[in-house]
Amino acid sequence: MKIREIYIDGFGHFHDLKFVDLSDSVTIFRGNNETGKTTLLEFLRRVLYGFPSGRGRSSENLYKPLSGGEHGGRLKIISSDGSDFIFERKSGMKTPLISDHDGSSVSDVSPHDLLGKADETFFKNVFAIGHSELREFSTLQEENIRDRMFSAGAGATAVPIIDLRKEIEEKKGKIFTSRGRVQKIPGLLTELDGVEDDIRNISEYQEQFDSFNEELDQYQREHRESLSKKNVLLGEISYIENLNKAYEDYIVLKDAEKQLEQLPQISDFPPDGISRVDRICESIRSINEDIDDSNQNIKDLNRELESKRTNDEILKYEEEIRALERGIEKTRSGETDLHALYIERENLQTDCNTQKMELGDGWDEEKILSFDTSTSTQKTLSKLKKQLHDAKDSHYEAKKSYDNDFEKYGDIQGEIERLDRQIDESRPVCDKEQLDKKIKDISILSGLITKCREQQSHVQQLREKGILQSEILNEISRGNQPSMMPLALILLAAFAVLVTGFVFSALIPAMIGFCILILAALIYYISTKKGSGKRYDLVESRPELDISRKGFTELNKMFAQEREKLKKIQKDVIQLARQCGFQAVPDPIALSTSESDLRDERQKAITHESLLKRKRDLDENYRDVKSRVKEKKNYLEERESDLAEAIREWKAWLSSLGIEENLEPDVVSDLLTKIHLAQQKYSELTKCERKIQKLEQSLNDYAQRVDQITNTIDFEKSDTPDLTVELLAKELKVNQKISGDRENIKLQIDQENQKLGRLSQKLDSNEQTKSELLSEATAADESQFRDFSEIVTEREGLEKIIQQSRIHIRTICGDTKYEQFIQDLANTDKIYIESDLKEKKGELETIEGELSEISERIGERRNSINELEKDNDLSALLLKESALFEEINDYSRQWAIYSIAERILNSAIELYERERQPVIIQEAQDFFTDITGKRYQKIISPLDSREIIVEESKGKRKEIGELSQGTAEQLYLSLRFGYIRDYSRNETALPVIFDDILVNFDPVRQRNACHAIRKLSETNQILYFTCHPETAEMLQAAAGDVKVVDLDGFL
Amino acid sequence: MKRSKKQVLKFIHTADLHLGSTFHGHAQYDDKTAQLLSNATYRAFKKIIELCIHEDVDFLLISGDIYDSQDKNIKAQLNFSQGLRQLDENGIRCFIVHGNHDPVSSWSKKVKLPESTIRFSCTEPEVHSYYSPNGKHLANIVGMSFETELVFANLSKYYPEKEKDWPFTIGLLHCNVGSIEGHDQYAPCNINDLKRCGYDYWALGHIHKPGVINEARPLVAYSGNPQGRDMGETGPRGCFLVTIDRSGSIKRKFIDTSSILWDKIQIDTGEIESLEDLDCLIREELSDLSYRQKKDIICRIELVGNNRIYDEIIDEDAIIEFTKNLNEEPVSSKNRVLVDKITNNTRPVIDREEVKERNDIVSDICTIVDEIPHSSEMLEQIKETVDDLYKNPKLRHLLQYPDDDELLSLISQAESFLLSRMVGGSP
Repeated sequence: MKIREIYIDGFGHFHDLKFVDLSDSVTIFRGNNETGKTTLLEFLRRVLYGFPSGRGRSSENLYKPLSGGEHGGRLKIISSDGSDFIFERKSGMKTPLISDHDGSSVSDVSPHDLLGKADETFFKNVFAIGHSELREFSTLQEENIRDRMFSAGAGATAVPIIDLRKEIEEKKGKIFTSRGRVQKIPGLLTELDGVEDDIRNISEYQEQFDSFNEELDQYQREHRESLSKKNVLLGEISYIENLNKAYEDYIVLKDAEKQLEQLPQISDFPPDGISRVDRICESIRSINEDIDDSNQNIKDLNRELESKRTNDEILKYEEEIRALERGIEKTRSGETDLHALYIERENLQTDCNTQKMELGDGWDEEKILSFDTSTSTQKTLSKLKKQLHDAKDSHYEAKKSYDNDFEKYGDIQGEIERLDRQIDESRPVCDKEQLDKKIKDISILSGLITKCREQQSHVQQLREKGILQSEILNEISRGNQPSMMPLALILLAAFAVLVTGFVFSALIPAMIGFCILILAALIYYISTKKGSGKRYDLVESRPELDISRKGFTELNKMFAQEREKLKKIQKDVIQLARQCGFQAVPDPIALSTSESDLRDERQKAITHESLLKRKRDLDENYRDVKSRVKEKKNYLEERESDLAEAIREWKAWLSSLGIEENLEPDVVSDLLTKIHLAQQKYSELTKCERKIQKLEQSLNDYAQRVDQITNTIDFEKSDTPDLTVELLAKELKVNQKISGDRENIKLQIDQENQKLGRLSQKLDSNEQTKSELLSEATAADESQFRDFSEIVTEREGLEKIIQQSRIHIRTICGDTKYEQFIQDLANTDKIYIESDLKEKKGELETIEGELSEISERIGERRNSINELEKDNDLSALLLKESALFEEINDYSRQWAIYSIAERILNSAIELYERERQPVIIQEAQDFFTDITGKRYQKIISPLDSREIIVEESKGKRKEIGELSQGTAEQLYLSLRFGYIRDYSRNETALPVIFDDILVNFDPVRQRNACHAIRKLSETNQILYFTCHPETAEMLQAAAGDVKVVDLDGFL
Repeated sequence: MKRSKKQVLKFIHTADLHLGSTFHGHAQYDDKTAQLLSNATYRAFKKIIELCIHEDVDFLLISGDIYDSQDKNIKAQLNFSQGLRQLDENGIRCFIVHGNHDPVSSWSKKVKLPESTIRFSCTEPEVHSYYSPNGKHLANIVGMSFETELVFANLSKYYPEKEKDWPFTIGLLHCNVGSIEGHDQYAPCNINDLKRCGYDYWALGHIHKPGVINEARPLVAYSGNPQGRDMGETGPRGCFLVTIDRSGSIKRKFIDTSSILWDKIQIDTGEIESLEDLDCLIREELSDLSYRQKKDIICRIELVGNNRIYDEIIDEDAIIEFTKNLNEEPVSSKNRVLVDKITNNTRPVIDREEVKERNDIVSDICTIVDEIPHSSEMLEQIKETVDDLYKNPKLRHLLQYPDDDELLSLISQAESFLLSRMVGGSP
């Protein structure tokens, strides 16, 4: 398959780009860096094999179209059997669109048919060689070089074959080797052993469970025995201690019992006798004291009573005085008010006078008061006022209106006179219609003149044309007969000369003469020809001139016609000019002057007409105004009479009221108000006087009452009654207080007497009780009584001691029977108690020691058992064991897979070496010879080793390790080429892409390499990408049909 | 206390507790998780005890294999006795026969079970009566235990027939009815042997998958184990709650008591482009699973399909890392999902037929692989390669030598590996 054309719709920075006529053998794409070689490369690959989806792990460059267009493109390819196809693919299309060379789709051709069975990886790895691949190759170690050579021959795979084999060996080795100990599986085994050991240990423990439990039981039994022994001992010890404790009490008890026997018995002694007696005595004493106090009080009170006395008289008049007292305030304020009223009265009097004076003469109090200022007066006043006002207003209005119109009347008259004058002045010469006609005539005239002029020129033209034609005709007829006579004569002369010469054997001069004459004839002929030629030229260049006779006659006819036309027009012009008032044909200036004059006249006529119209309108207006003025005058006279009537009525009313007639309504109204005010003032004055009277009266009454009292009780009077009353009240209060006090004292005296009675009662009862007590105790008197009580107390004390001791002892003896205990106590010897105790305590210690030992042992056993019971580890360990087991199995499986893969790979390698490699080596050999410039002729791969050996032309053999860098590279390339060719022969030939592979070769090698490339191009189309122009030249020199595409130009 | 008047007799039937026995899984878990797993059997037993008390049953039947005697696990025995004591305190009795894993001889003498518990003897079948608290004779239970681990006799032949005056009769036995594949032939017996006795209910043990062998008179049931322990024991696991009413009809209800469910899922890796994608996909599937099942899960994932990352996941180390990662970062917050193992049965996206047509060293690989099954010589060679590891003295007792089918599967995977490295696999 070869690519003929490339069309890029949109890819990276390419858009709508076409590469046509690619060479079947070598096409060079030359471009500097960044011009898009890589882009183009990728484009080719993707169109052929598919665009990446964009998802997935790698950050591949998607080459989205940056300059527009659909992402993708097409190729025009020629298949291996020679048919043309178009191979199209856009991004997102899983299968490419394959169509015929004319665009119709073909359904029975699949990409495989065209591309063969190789996939993209194969295409990328095998059918492409880059300079980086070579550079990488040059950095390899020797053994790697050998491997690479091998891989090159075997066909480049994603991971080179030998590398893959190494990888598998490594991976295998990590998991397991037969002697290794650090690999995965041995490691797991070790771990497993460890876990199994742990499990075993724990299991052994489990078996001890039962024996541990038995030991535990034994210890517990022993423990119990010792414990009971200890308890017995403890009991004994405590008994002895108790005896010890109780001993003292016992002694005390015995003593008390003895004492008690010695005291006499007293019977029937009242309980608490002594204290009761004491209490009674105390009580009696205090009562007596109280009695004394009371008596004293009574005495004091009586004395006090004596000292207080009252005035009865004043007390009798209590009520009256109280009433007067209540009236004090009122009296006082009354006096103040009275003063104020006096002042007010004076003020009011003054005001009244003022008002009266304001009203003017003729007004006195009586008149004022009797005047009627009521509402009816007001009403009448306002009515008349209005009436008057209205009459005045309407009269005023009527006059104004009449005056207005009269003025207008005057104005119009004036205007009419003016207009008449103007009309006279502006009378035009003639009327408008006539003027219009004249103007029109002038314009026609002007038109005609112009036309006349034109016609003149036209006639002139025709005349000239006629002249010219006749000239030409003359010339031609002249020229039509260029005389041939001279020519014939000359020729004759020439021949005559010749003959003469011939006759006279003067050939040479005759020849000369002949020649000259011929020459002259020639010249003459030529010149005439030129002349007529010139004439013909003239004719040719003026095709409109019809020089035939017919043409000439026609022209004459036309000329005559036009001349006639002209004459007529001229006649018209003169006629019209005369009509317009011109003597002769006017020039344009005169024409236009005349025209403008006429136009002015026309304007004047128009103005005149409008003036006339205006005068008519004005006359109408004048008539209207005149009538209106008359109306108005009548109306005015009516209004005047109304007004006179209103004034008369007003004056009448005023005099009826007694007011001056000439006053204006406003003033009258003012007057009414003043009168009303004055009336008010007078009434106020009256009121004030009445108040004064009342007040004076009450004050007097008050003073009288006060006098009456003071006289009756003989009391000293003060300046004013109110002061007097105050003093009276005070005196009253004092007396009342004293009276109250006296009552109090009397009450107290009564109380004291009562108290006295009670106290003596109490005294009696106490005496009674006391004597009863004494007799109860059969005591003669109090001192005997006291003696008895002492004895009783002592007895009681002893008995208490006895009781307490008994209780102590009982407490101490606890469970033991009391009698037994007392018995033991009696028998006890203090000394022996101590030693007994010591002995027993010693025994106790021993037993406790035993017990603690046993407890420890029990504790230990319990712990061990707990450990066993807990057993966290066992289940987890079992889990781990099982997991490890499975892991070992899994890894083993993995190892098996790698092993088998190794085996298979080796078989494949062997197969390759046996069957494929020879062929490929054969092909490679061809290339190698070329590329080394025939220095090396053979490549050999012995059957039993992986080695590749090359043989020089001289016969010397070298291993790869002995080759120089450059030669190794050449060999590598040859192997690659060999593989490609082999594949292409057997399967499909695809285009091979070279990415600047010659760049590192020296010039000689480069040239040789070009030969090899050319050789390869015999089977495969080569697409060579480079940025070096020299490479392009070199390839062109080596290979014949090389096309160069300059990518710089496509940017 | 859920008990209605109609329910005359109520009991729970369980078996094969295997207390303290461990899970058999692949992954190595962190300590906390390992703890969880190793306690699972105890938790299941606890659930059964709680269930007995909550349902107010009359007694608990256990048909053998209570713990694994070879582990000699004291904790298991103590735990068991504690559970029974709890039942005893609530007035619930327990009837036990022992099986091949916990024969009478293997129990510690120091672990005491409550007085009310009956352990059937191993010398001959015993008949025990059950009386209700108010004295009614409600049931007879007949049972016989294994003396040692190896009992091959048909014990059911010794069981007495039901007598006329016997109330509801239950047979308790650890045995293998018919021949159920995959189980060793301990105490085999026949369904007819069981029918002959004329009992009403046979409470059997030994088969770990719950199931009813015979529906009507007698009702023969295997309760199965209350908690699955490995990938072979997937599906619900629990016990049977059996109720008998006045008319004598038997109602049984299966109650799930497991705390961890074993499950297997298959995930298609066809759309995967990267390891991150795979991680996401697996997490999604697992969280779906967790949501569906609503309990803790241990699951085994089989990856199938053709994907583009074959050469990244063929490596066992990578898979183990991956699994560990999945287990360290929990998938679901509600219930745990643990990944036991991920098996890679995927293949690379390579059209093998296309590759074969290439006619180069890569296609040779396919050709060779195709030939292997037909060439005994090549098979021998392959086996030799594998022998190195599988016949290694330290390992031979641990590893199962691959059989022919297994070998072919290994070869196929080897080929896939080679192809994925040599061809690339990208479009």
